[in-house]
Amino acid sequence: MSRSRVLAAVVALLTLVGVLAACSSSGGKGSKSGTIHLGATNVLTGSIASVCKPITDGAAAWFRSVNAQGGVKGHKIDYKVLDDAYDPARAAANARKLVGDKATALVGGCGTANEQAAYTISSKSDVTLIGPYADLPDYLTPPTDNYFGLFPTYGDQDAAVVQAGLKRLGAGSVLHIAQNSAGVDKENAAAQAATQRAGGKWLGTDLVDPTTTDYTPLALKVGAKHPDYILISAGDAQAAQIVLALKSQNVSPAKAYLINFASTGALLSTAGSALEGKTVSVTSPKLSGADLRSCLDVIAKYGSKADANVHGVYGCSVAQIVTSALKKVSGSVTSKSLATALESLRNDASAPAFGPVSFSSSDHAGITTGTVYTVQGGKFVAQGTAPYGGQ
Amino acid sequence: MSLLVPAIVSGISVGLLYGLLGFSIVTLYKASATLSFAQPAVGMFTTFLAYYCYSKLSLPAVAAAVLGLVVAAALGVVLYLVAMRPNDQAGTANRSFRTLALYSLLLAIATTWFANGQPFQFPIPTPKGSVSVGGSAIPLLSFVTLAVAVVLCSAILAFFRWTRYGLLFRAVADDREVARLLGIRARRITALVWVAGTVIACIVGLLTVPTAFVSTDTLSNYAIYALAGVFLGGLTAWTGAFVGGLIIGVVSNVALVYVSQEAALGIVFVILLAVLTVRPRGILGDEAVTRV
Repeated sequence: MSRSRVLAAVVALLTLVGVLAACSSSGGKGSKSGTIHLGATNVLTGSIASVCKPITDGAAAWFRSVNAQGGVKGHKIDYKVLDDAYDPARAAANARKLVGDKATALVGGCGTANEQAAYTISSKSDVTLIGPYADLPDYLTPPTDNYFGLFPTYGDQDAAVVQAGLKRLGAGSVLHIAQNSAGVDKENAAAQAATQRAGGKWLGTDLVDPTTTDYTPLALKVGAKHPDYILISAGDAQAAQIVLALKSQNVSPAKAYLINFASTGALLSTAGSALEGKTVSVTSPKLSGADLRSCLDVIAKYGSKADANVHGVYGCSVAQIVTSALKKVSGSVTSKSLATALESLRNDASAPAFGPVSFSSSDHAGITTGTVYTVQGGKFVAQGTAPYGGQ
Repeated sequence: MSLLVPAIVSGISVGLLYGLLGFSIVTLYKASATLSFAQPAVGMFTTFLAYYCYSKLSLPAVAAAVLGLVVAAALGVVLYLVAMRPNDQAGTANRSFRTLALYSLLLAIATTWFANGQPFQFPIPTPKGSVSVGGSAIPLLSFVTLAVAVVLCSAILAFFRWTRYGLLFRAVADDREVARLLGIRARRITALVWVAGTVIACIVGLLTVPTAFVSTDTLSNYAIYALAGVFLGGLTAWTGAFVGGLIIGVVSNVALVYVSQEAALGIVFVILLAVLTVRPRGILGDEAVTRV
């Protein structure tokens, strides 16, 4: 046998061994690891269910579409969502059950107090919580193991919209109307600091309660202060009622309303005329445009028409990022390997509605910029981007 | 000082809504000896039904609102037959707690079936604009609320005073068993009272729509103020429901302007506690007479 024939035989053998090894590897991994189990505890019933339910519905629609295309590297995703009714004790029990059922990660979910309770349980088992629609700044600065953001903190959202508004329309006085909640002091501090950085004058904060029946007294107090900007960070129904109460008392900011993302949901459909030409908002995910298409299409096909809104898109976008990270996992999918894959994402474009997403070992916030919107012709119109935190 | 007059005026405006809701509670209590905690949820639920007629059946908003009132009347009969009539000889406490269960049930159903995507805009035509009084803009809607309150209150008082059925209502309210022995069909009377209470609650729900939209939360927030107004004014007095509601509305709105959100509710209940301690039957309630 000539040397060249021996060489050819060795190459052929090595190629055969390589191919067989590759086939064996991919087949073996699928059969060994099987389904990827993900979970969420969310507010599916109760007063804020209308905001929260679409978030896990949107994520579920995305995961169904992934499964319909064969899953991630051949592994189907099983996404189990449990109702906590905005009750931290139930959320903790749900997290315990999901962890017991071998969930690799908790994905999505909504509500600060209940998601915090869920994280307290899941983190003890090193199960990662990813992208809850919740204001949990303490887990991001410094970054906490097993927690990945994707929802900018309310403080960062306020700071971003203050900086964007004052940059766009000039310095002026800022009055903050905020929902009275556990983290409101940090949120106020961030908004005040951003106002002062932008050369504005801080007029303070008027707190509102979700049980308020009449916002006229608030409107009277706000009118007496004559603010150039009114920064609103409250639930979307509450924000709409506040804007209407201000309008009925002929109170309006001299320059603009600055609207926190969480307040945008139903605002245009209920109080749009009061906002026309006088509004700046900074949001993530985006509120309109072609970048929403991938999620809206999937929600239309695999979800419910009722979830084709900003909250459904948020949940779907979180699921897109998780899917992107799952694709990067080498070896078996565990909570640890998923966290490592998430930390390796740099300017990941798999969730167009979010824009580029980056994590690292020192940054678990994920999203650093939002889209600036104004209200024109009864619609939110994109006007570029702004950094979260208003730096 | 400049905010005092507008705060009082806005308090009167919202107090009328508390009074109207309280009015339906007092009506049920007087005629059926049941303290209905369910009225805020009944108002919310029937408002959703009216909105459903508008959004799903594509009826004009006014027609949907009118149909909503009709559906509310039917719901009143259903609520009575299902929740109140069985074992209706059970005591006041039993029946009152049934209404608490009704409250939770209606809220749960509305949250499950109707709430996705709330709040909803229900464009019932109402007068736009406002009138300036003492530096405060009083929405014209407040005058509609006032007119509705005056008409409803007058109509029901006239009904009870000058009609045969009104007399029968009062007989059942005074002593259900004696009324039965006299041949009065007490259950039919009570069913009619539930119809009236449900329709009034629906009217309150529809009056809140222009400012608070259609949402599962709206009337729940009114519940505590309306009940406080009822006890303050007197559980057995129709006019007491309005007097109590107005006091609660004015005090809470002035406190909101001058003190804080948290303090407002506290001040309301300090006043309620003080009045009930000094005058247990409330400001206008009847003296309880017990036969010995």
